[in-house]
Amino acid sequence: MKKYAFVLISALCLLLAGCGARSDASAARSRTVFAMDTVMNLTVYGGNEDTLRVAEEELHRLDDALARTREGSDVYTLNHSGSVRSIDAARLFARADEIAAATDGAFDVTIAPVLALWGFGENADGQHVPDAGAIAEALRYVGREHVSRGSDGVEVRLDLPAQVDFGGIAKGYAAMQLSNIFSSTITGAVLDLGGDVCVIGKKPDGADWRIAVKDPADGERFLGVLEASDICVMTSGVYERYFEENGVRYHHIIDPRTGWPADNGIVSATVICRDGIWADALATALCVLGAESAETLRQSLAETMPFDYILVTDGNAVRYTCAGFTPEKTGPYSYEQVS
Amino acid sequence: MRFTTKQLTLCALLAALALALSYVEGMFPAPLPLPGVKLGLANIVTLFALCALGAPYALAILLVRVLLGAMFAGNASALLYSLLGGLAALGVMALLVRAKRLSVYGVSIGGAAAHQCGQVAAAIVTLGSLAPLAYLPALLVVSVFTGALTGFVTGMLLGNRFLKNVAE
Amino acid sequence: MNRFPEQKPNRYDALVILVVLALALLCAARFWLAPTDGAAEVVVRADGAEIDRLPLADAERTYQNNGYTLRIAVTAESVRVTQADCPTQDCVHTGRISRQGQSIVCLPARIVITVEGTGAAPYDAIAG
Repeated sequence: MKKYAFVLISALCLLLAGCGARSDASAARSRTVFAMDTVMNLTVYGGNEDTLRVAEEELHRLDDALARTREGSDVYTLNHSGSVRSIDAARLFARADEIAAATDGAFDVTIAPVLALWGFGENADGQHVPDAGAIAEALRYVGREHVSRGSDGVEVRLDLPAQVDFGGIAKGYAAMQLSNIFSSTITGAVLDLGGDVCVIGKKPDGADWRIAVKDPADGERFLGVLEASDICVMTSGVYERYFEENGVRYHHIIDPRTGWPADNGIVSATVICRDGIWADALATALCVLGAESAETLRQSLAETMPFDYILVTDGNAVRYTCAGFTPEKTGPYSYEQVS
Repeated sequence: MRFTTKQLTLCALLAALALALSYVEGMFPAPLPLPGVKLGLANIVTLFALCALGAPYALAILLVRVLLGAMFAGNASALLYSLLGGLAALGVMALLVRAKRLSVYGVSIGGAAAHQCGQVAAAIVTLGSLAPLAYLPALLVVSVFTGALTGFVTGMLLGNRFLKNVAE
Repeated sequence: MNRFPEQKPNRYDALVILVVLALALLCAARFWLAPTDGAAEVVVRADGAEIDRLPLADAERTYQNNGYTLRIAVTAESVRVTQADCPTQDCVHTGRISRQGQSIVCLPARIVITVEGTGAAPYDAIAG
């Protein structure tokens, strides 16, 4: 009997040894947040439950402060009373002002009244081509000169009836805020703010993050994969919202300088930049500027705010500048690296 | 396959006993939380019937037990579990009994292992996924113990003079 | 009755035990000795078709299939079913699973929750 017991026990030991080696996956936590009209997925490595809870609270707080249509929000107050005391609004405006200056007005947070004319505002119905006179009238209140900051750095003033919409940089700002919250407590993070992605630090194994960039024409396919760390990848595209009238397609990326949808062959612009706010704004700005001006802008900002881009243009051409980008050659696109 | 009245009575009794056993084991925590997987206590009856009455009788008892059990449970997939488990156990045990060298323990453990394999096969069929296979190693280890237990009980039953008389 | 087997265990019985355990080891090797490097993912399948895939990181999800609802809680280490309205509650009783290849099966809902290795995960995020 002893012999059998021995055999049995040794067999069991062998079996248990097989399960002994516990996998040591690095401690990742993730949370899904519904804010800013999108679904966000936050994944952090290291850190604790509080990290994500605080992050979610911050996202909801920003959502409340920056929602243009929510009565009592900072932006609502600014747009209706012509002034507001808000650190977020002041910071956002300061950055928006820099970006508007750098892009020669291709990105402007005061474009809202023109967007509304086209029907791309909050009321999605009633999209139509406005008459030229109305556009010209609305354009009078577009421009960074209509917004100013109080001397205390917290007050923001607006020349009514100009209107401000921080939607074009809100996600970038949110990413920067989260990155500040996380900085000391985590080793790495992936913030997916509804397709706009920021990665913080490196992967737990020390490698760069791999960020797949979607094909604007086919959500199932990728343009390629970007390998990078501490970076934001933000995309704007004319395919996101548009309507057709008399067989002509009008999209939602309005050139603040003309009041008309940008028409320069850009289908989508993905901007890769360490600063989320710049990445967010530049994605829109590059759609407005077109491929040539985009490259000029990149050269001129090389010292102060270096960024890379991936531009998809009419005729299935992709122009990209980033070294860490590997094109997915199976798609219909022709790729050209600009150096 | 001819039934004497005694044998018929014994078969009916055994089927009822098997049914009761499968009901009772439902009250125990399952060896592993794979739904429908059972310890296989009813194998006591199968093995006893196999030895005392023969394979055809054991099969008849098994089928009655499985069908009635499924009717009581009102669950078609549970039917597949106990059917495949039971048939596999019966088949393997019928083979092992012929290998005269094995004691009742060896036969019973072989049957218990086959029972678990059959149940896992049923789970794979029902779910259309190989996932239940992951439970098989643990179930097989468990089957060594349940097999030893059912072997012990069956051995006692087979040694019982009253039952022996009835069977003959 | 000469068909009656012996009632005393002998060494041939040990052989049976060994065969059973060897079989167990063989199966175990397939799941437990598989490379566990890299991140793991929770994959949820209903009726065999994948309905969700999420990283092994704190999250809660609810799934419905075949008229039943179950709620799962995922942590950095493991996943478990916290709530189910099925009569058997087997999936809830399964407790936590953490190892790649392990799964929780909810038969009434026909849902299988598996921990799968991402292996060389192709992407950490999808932008655009």
